[in-house]
Amino acid sequence: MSHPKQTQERDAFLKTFAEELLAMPDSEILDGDDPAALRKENMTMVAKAKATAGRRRLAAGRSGFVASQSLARSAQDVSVAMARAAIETAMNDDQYTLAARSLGEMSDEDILRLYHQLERLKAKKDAPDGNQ
Amino acid sequence: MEKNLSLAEVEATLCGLSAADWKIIKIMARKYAGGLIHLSPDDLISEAYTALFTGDRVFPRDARPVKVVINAMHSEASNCREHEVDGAIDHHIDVTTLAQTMDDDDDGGLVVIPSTNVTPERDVESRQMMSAIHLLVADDQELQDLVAAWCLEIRGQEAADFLEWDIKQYEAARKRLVRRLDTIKQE
Repeated sequence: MSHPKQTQERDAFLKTFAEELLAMPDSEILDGDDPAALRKENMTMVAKAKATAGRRRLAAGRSGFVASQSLARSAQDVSVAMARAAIETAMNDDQYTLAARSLGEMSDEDILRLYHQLERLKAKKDAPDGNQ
Repeated sequence: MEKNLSLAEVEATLCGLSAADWKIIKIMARKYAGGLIHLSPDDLISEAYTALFTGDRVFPRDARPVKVVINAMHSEASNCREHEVDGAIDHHIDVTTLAQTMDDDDDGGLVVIPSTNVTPERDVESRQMMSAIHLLVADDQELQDLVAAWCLEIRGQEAADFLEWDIKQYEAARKRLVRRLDTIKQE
């Protein structure tokens, strides 16, 4: 492992080195290199990075879509009886506070809506930075 | 006007870098990538550009573009170095020998990836970069003094005054040092 002092020294040195390079005239930096070839290298790198960034954004978008789709699907697939049982379990769980209301008085639609809310709460809680 | 560049502006700005800017970026990438296992200098530039494209790193409108790229490379390299040093696996240990001593019929499921890309040069550059630089200037007292000044982030006229040199002496030493530093190249 790098010693902190060594790391600080290296960082300071490299920072100053970079500033020196930035202050040098272009002719000294290029030192006979072909500017056109260098510019072409940069353009190639820009194109490569742009494509990589696009792929990463797409992958992130897809994973978010898949996650929400799977959540929606699991919620849709549940029967009213299962939703009712899950809510009953949650009512006995200190982590959730549900309004005191008899489940028997609720319509199937209300039961499913409450179940979906509960699932979303659970998903939030299970997320790495989720709160209860 | 927005404080940071939009993605379209980022692309236009990166495409507009001069040949000298690009060469500086390459020089600094070699220094920052020194000793990293997972990022070559080209990878490091690519990661920095990508982070600017994805918006993971902002591109301040009023900053000099080449400096923004250098800062992004520094951050990417630091993150990678931390990961390699503090992670569960010490990537700097060459396990080639270990892998070779395993029995052929061992079906324990252990997969060992030989880290053959850990060359002594890369190791020296990251973990003992300053030692390597000190060695590089061991025969030149002026360059040793200049390295010491740069380690204190003193440069230019201020460094010349600090070292009690005139600016011509400083410039001559600076050119020698930059040339020598360029000899430490990433393989």
